[in-house]
Amino acid sequence: MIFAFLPLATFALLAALMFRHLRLMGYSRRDTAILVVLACVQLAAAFSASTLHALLLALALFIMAKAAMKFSAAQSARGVIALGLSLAAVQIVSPAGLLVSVIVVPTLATAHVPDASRGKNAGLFLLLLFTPLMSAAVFAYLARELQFDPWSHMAGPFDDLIRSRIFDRLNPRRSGLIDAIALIAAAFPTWWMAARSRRAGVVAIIVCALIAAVVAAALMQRSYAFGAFVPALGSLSLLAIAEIADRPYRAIALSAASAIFSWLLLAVSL
Amino acid sequence: MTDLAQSEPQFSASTVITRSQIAAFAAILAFAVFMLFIAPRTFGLLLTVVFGALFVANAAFRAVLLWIGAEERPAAPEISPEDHELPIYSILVPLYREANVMPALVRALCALDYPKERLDIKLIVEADDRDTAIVADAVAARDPCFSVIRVPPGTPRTKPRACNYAMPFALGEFTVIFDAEDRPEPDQLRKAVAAFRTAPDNIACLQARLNFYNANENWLTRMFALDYALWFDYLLPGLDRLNIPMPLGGTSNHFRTAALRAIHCWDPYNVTEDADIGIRLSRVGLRVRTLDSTTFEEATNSFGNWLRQRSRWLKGYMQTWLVHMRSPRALLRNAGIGGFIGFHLFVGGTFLSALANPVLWAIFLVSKIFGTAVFSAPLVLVAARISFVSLAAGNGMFAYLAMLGPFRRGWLELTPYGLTAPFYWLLISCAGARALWQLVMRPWYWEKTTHGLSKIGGSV
Repeated sequence: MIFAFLPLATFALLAALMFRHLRLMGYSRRDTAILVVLACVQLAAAFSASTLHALLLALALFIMAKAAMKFSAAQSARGVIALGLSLAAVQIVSPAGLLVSVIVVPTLATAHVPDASRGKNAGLFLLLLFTPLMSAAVFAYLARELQFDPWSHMAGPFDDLIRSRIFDRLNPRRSGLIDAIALIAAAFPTWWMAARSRRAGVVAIIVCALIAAVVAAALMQRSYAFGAFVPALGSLSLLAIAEIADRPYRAIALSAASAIFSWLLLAVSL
Repeated sequence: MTDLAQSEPQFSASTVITRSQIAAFAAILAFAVFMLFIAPRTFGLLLTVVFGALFVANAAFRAVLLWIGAEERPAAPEISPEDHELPIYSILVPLYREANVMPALVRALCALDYPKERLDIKLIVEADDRDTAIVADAVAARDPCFSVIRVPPGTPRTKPRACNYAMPFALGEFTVIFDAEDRPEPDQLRKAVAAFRTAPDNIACLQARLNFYNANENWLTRMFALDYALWFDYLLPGLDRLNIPMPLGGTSNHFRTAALRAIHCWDPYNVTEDADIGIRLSRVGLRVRTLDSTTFEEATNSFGNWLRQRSRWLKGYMQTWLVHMRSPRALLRNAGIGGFIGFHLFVGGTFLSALANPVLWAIFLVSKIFGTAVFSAPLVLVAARISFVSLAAGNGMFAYLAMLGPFRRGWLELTPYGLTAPFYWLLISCAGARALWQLVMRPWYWEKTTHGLSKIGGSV
């Protein structure tokens, strides 16, 4: 029964974190509210897929991207721990998380340490990768020894109610590679912002990793509903867009365009 | 020299263990023997759970300390006193068979950025250590800020006894201890004076950070450097911020001289007199803080030397724990509930983890190799799982903490060696077993660490 409320709780938590982030970035209350509502429009795409999984992926990637942005700005032991734990969390939410870690970690390790030698880069690489690899080992052990699968109970009433009545009436078309192309297109605010801000560049790396995970899954003949990734993209786009706090109207316009475009792509993909 | 043992014997390790402590340990031992005969398999499981919990709790507490100690706080405005505002600073340097490292020591002390006329450096030599005394006399004859103090023969023959003997001769408002192989950063004394001047009066001691100038010499020195980086850069600042009694490191402890005298200086019977004095200060309402300045030392680069040094430290931690647990209620009253728990996890946890580690390995291997021949079938599975999970979680955390240790110093090239922390912990367990044996057989024996063996010289 408790799992029935998890999607709503996750949705609310993510919205609250977005609100806080935008306020910290210097947006007014009104602009923050508009941007969060627009981001929530993208989060709602989760109801087209496995709702909780999609929202948790969005939440985990949002937290990871924040940790990565903070780490790229100033390296600290706390930053390493936060980033490592968020990489582990992404992997718990989605098996693609390990791939995301493997792409994000070396990029951060090599790109963001000033005057780093090969030895220092290797040290940072190991340090960042340690937590996700350990958590992968722990989950493998739990699955083997105790047949532990925390996600087996996740199908909540929202999945049944919304997906079956609205989305599942249309036959979903399955092609991971096309989904990946759609994701590249839907992530246009991140690409645009990455060209302007170093911190948004970190978000772009994570979006690249997410797309790579979708492609890898497609090559392994596994694909996920496109809607499963739109919320994640929405939360990451918000982080990138939030970098232009001095131009709130442009941020709102970008956010609105991103929401509309994501839903258009979602409608086409169904 | 044995002032503490005479005036406040309850705080001195001159008595290793009290009667009530013997009774408590005897009761635990009797219970263990009883269980071993009545229900040996259940006892095995209980042992696994207890040792597993000890091992993981110590690692988890260190992780919490690291998180708190890693908080970046805005630096306090730098106050650099003018030369004429600086007080006389006493430096105690206990020496025993250190003639070979004296030239480097004198260079390091002369490099201190402090007016010479306000330095009061005491070279403390044992009366029968002629070689060191000859070199020390030559130094003192050349430079008036140095003076030599000869400690008459006596027992226990320990570093704290020598320091206690020298204390009445100390002239400074502040007193610091340096070891023979130390290379303090030149501005350390000025930083300490500035920190004392801005700190509340109850801050009686500042502990500078320690690390090694020969960290890259071999695997052992690298692991030692990781250990120290974690300890002094993260764990001690974590204790400081949580207001938990802080066991001091063996050197670079800067004291307000009056406060040091008020608590009867060091306990000559405790082989980690530094750890003990940190706890004692907090028990009388005084506090220790960390000082953002590093003293570089020589890491022991051979296993035998390392084992002697580490087993002395662990023995000293056992002594310190026993001394302050003579009256748990008094400790609780003095340190508060947080300090009380922190003391057990940090001081007790350090040697208990070392002792628990091999027991867990033994239980895990026995349950895997011999299986039902030793335990009944369901217990085998449970014992194997508990020991495995404890070992994996504890060693995993210790490895991660070791890898994070050098982060603040930017010594990331040492990070990969943190992955070998489980092997290092097995060595620490060897030292722990040796320490326990010595606590019973030779409780006050001070095992001398030989210095000057490194091929890498230290310069600041």
